[in-house]
Amino acid sequence: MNWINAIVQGILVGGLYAMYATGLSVSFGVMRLVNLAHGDLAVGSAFLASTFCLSTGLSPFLSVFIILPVAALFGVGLQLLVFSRVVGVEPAYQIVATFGLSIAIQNVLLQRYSATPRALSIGDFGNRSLKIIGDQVVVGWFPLARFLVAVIMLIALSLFIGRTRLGRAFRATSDDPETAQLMGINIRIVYVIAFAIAVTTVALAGIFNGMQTQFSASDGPALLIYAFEAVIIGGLGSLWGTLCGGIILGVAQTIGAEIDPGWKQLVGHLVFLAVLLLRPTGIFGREELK
Amino acid sequence: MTLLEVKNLDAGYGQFQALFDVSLNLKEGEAISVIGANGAGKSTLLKAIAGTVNMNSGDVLLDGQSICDMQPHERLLQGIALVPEGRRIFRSLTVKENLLIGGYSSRSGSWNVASILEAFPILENFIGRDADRLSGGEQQALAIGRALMSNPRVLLLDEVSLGLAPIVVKQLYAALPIIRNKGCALVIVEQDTNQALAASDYTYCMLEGRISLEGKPSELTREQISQAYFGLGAHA
Repeated sequence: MNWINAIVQGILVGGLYAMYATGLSVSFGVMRLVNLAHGDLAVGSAFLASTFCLSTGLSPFLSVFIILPVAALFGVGLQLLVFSRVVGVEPAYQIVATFGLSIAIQNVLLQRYSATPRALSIGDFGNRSLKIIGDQVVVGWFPLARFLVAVIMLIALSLFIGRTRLGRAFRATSDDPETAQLMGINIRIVYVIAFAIAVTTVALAGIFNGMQTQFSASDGPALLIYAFEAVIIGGLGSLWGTLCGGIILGVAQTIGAEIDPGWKQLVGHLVFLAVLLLRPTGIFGREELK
Repeated sequence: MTLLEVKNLDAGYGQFQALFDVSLNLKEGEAISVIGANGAGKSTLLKAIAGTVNMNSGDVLLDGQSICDMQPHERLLQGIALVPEGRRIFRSLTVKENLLIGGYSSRSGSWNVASILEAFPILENFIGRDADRLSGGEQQALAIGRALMSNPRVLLLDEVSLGLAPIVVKQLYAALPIIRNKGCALVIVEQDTNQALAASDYTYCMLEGRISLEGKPSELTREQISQAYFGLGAHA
């Protein structure tokens, strides 16, 4: 029965990983940008939420309504000022620019918030749980809610990309930016919106993460790794693949922890490496990548 | 009346200059062709008109107004649409979505999904299918239809016949009069001179980035054309 519990918990954690990975998937899918500061944006958002909660006394859940619009605007600014210069040029520039941004964000956070970890308190809600099968499989309300939010977010995003006029422009730009411009698409606007979506989703993930565990200024790169692994397991550019990749990573980690608590990360990384070896395009990935 | 005018255009890619002092004229409703060997600069000329290649000097005028400072998407709104070389259809979109993207920021006009299927009946059966599953000829029809969705005044056609069977090329060229009848002027770029000359009122031949010959197809001799096309004796 412990195994079933491990799998259920893993699926729920997977929702969070998918939330982390969504933005990476969108920014890579639409503009072939690998943003190494992705995890730091999540941590930065969690700190902002913490500041908001401490100064207003309001719940972290309410902070979302303030922090997400701020994150979206920050994404717009970043794209216009920094990333617009490195999209479509040699990848080395992207790595330098986004890695530099990662270090800059970490140091600003360290300066402003010190190295002490923080957490976002959601009070009693964090402890409540639902018994599924006796005492064997117990699901926390919060991880369940977080998983549902992740799924709703992915449904909304895939409807947007699959069914709307702008979503079609996203896919066309992803296929071939030069030809997309010839169709009357202003790809600079597409890039700005895509990056705003990426930062908003990762900000939400950062806040949800902070509601469950402590976070500190230098956590970003570790979160980036999880996001990367989820994206690559699921397949680049596929949103449902990203959810699936997040779940596979989450389940691998909880099963690893069930075997030996020290194996949690290890098993996750091993599954990632196995996918990379056996199916480099990921489970839902298209066969050919440009 | 002159619709599109290219004046003394120099353009290229970075250090490499592909076009030298190229000038041409396109009247309302007219079809002109630009012929020349591989590498003569024909595609670069079309890209410079559409705005995806930067020009170094010269001018491109539409209705007497310079469009040089406009982005490609702005030029499309002014009525310039390019069917790119190699078709460049959006592979992860369906046939219908490709057409809809073509009308993403459309001018008003009579082209829509229905009238395009009428002009290119071969697309009709594939409308819901992923575009990358079409044959070369169907993809080319889709690429032309997609460009028409913006209701252009000038349609730039880059190597429509490249890699296609003669019968398919014939079908595609059969659609050109329909397009012209709706008031759209054409710039036809081809390596295959016979098709291009037959379909155009005026022709320009390019050689190594320069216009080497121009005139009405009916008034040019085969010798003149092959000399201008291959540069035979040009350096003598």
